[in-house]
Amino acid sequence: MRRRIDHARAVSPLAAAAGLATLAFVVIPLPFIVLSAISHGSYRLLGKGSPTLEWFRNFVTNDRFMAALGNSVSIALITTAVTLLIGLPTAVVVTRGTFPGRRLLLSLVSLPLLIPGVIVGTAALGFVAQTGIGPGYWPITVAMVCAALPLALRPIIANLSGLDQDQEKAARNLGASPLRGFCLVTLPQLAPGLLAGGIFAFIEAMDNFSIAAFLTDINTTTLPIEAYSYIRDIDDPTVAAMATLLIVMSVLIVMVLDRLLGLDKFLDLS
Amino acid sequence: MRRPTGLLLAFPAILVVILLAAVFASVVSVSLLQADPGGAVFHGPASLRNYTRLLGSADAWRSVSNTLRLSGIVTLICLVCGFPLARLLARASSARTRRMILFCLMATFFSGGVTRAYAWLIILGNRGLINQSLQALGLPSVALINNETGVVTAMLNFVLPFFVLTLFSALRTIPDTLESAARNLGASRARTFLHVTLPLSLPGVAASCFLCFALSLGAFLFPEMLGGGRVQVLATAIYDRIQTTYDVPSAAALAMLFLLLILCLLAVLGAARQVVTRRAT
Amino acid sequence: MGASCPLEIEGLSKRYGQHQAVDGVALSVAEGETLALLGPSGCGKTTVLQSIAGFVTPDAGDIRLGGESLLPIPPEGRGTAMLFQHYALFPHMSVGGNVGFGLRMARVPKAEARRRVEEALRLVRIEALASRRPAQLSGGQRQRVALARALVIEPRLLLLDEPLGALDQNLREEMQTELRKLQRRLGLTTVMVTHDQHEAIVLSDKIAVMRNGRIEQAGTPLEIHDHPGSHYVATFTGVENLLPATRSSTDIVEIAGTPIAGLHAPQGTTDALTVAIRASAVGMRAAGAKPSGLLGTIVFTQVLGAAIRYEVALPGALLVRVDEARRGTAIWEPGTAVVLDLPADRCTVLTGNA
Repeated sequence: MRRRIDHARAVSPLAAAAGLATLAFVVIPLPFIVLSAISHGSYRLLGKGSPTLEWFRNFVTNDRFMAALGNSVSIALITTAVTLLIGLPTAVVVTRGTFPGRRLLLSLVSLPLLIPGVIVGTAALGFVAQTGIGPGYWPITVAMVCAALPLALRPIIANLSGLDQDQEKAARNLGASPLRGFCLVTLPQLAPGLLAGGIFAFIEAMDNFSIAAFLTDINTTTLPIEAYSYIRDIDDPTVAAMATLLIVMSVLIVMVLDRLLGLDKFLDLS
Repeated sequence: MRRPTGLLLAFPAILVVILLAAVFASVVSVSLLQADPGGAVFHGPASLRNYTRLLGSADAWRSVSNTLRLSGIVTLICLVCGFPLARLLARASSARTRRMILFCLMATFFSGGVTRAYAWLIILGNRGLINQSLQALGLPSVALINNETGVVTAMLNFVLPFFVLTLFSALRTIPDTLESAARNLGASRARTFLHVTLPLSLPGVAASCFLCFALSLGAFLFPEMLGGGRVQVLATAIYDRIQTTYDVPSAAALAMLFLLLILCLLAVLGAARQVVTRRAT
Repeated sequence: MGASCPLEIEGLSKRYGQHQAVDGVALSVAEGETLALLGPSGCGKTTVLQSIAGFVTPDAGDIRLGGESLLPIPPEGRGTAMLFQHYALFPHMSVGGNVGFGLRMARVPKAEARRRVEEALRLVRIEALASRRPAQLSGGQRQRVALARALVIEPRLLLLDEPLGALDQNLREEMQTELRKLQRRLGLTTVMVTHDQHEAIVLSDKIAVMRNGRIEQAGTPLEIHDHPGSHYVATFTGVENLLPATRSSTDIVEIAGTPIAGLHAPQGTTDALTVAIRASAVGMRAAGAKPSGLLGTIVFTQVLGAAIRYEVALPGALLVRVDEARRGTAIWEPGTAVVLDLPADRCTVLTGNA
């Protein structure tokens, strides 16, 4: 039998293999973390013995980790809520407004995205040191809001500018006030953008290292900072257990996104 | 939209901008002061001493060249490795393949930086997976962390999803009928790629490389965790000033110089990107 | 349905930067009458419609509905239901939710609202689709939902923005007839905007052809169709024949040197004239042994379906298009010598050459 050659393939097998190799490189850290978390030592990936939950136990019984986790989650939740509350009106102004400075306003609030976190962190530290506020929980939270705002704005703006403006006109034509038209017609359709923006804000606040590193103090640390200092001091797979939990959270988030929006649509927005 | 409503809606964002302005004004003024040893108090008089000291310091210049070199290397490898994946994603015939790839990329992306930095310590470390395997085979071990190899590997791993997803969004706007048309007109797959796909991809490639370079310039976590203090980039140099001596004014001055460098670089690269984009369209 | 009102527009003007979008437009639409604003994109017709609905604030002029000026009233208070070009249905609401939106805004009691929504859906014959989402509907069904949504609030004035532009040909003809019947039955004062001359003719009682923000010609559909007032209107409404003509010594119009019986040139104009006549109005017969009149030769034939299109060459490189309703199956061959008959009452004499 003659082999049938698929001339219609857009990507040659070689190029496809190269692509998949890259994908493997990107994903490879995750399985190793999970393996490490259930092994008996950092560098003994399931070498001997059965899987263990010792490091997970260690993580949840470690007071410093639990305090850092509590800080990170509460900071991330506050950041998400505040960021969306600021992001929504800002997106409306930027896409629908008429006043001349609105593009500039968008560029200015987007600065923390362009400027490396270390610079933002140093600046924030300089500010809290000079004003006497000092580092801690609230400075971290405010810094996270500033860092997360541009990330959250992008999907909201993309979502909003994709909507047919005639819909709001139709609502007014049918007797709705501008505010009612927005709330009943536009806002429900902004759910995907708000969801995507919210997730970006949450992840940024949970994961940020470079800004938070400058604003933590003895009493207030966040999970990434605590994990780093733990690695430097002790270096057992407790951090792998923590990372495994983060991976589970990440996979859950992506699954929810896939279910609610579809990953393609999510990408379109961001 | 009527103007008062617009201003009301812009108010929260304006507050954020005012805060940012205050913070940066403050850090500029701090960078002109001197620190008391070990203390959180800065004193005047305001001078450019921090700046002149930094500009004359070989260490500072070395971290500038390290930062630029590492960012360049990461961007280059990113381009070579990332392009095939972005293209596979954009042209994958089955929706399932695409969904699988997207799922992997995004799950990795959301799992956070510390997670991945730690994974690379496990894999590349002196007693890590690779060196254990080498030992088992009776080969000498190699140093893969506390040097640029480790830093570049981890940075690459972090930046690739951004690069691939950005390039993917650009690539999929190129209609695949153009490639079909080229094949129909007698071009081989390779020539189609060279004469049709590549020129049309250039704006997307430029945008993705720009992003990749910008992210690499600011990378902090990976040089810090995998460099082990031996790979000094600007980000770690700034942090060290605070960690070791709590010299906030000096750190602030270095941060401002870094900011200046970044703004200049990004302005130049942004202009280059515009040229590429304009010539391609 | 609700009390329909006459509409009057006076001296309406709107400028966008350097561009005078609307320039002193005056119109009046009697109660229950349908007016079509016809013109190419950028002629200002949409700006007029948006001014009536309240989405554009005019620089000058007045818009009165039932004698009362609309200008101080915000869009939501005007009672002018609009059918948007791409329908602007709310994608996150069901068909019932879309149609009931206006009643919800007017705080109509639930039971009554439900009854009126059902009635409106029945009126446009989609009562079975009430629980669907817009994305699940065909183009024609969406059009009906948009229409029901506009009609259910018993508007004082109905505004149609390119109402059938998004539909394909077959559906468009079906909806044209249906829309016209509905208008007649409900007696709604209507203003529509279109760039499609056919749509304007079949859907309206009065047409205003617009050009560069002004009204070029206003008249009944038949007047516009048969007797365009200018070269612009003739070209835009698709008059197939614009024939260069001259004035004879007796003020009779001549084409290719042949006088057209009964067709008089207008007084005191130049000698260069143009005769506008539709292809379907031109008569044609075989040239006999001793032919007289407008002599020509068929050079091209094309089957249109219900008619045959002939292109007839006259002396002087003139080409006349003739649509002849089919009688039997015989089609005249190219090369046949024919005599053309241009009835004076179907001709329009325009000054100047095209």
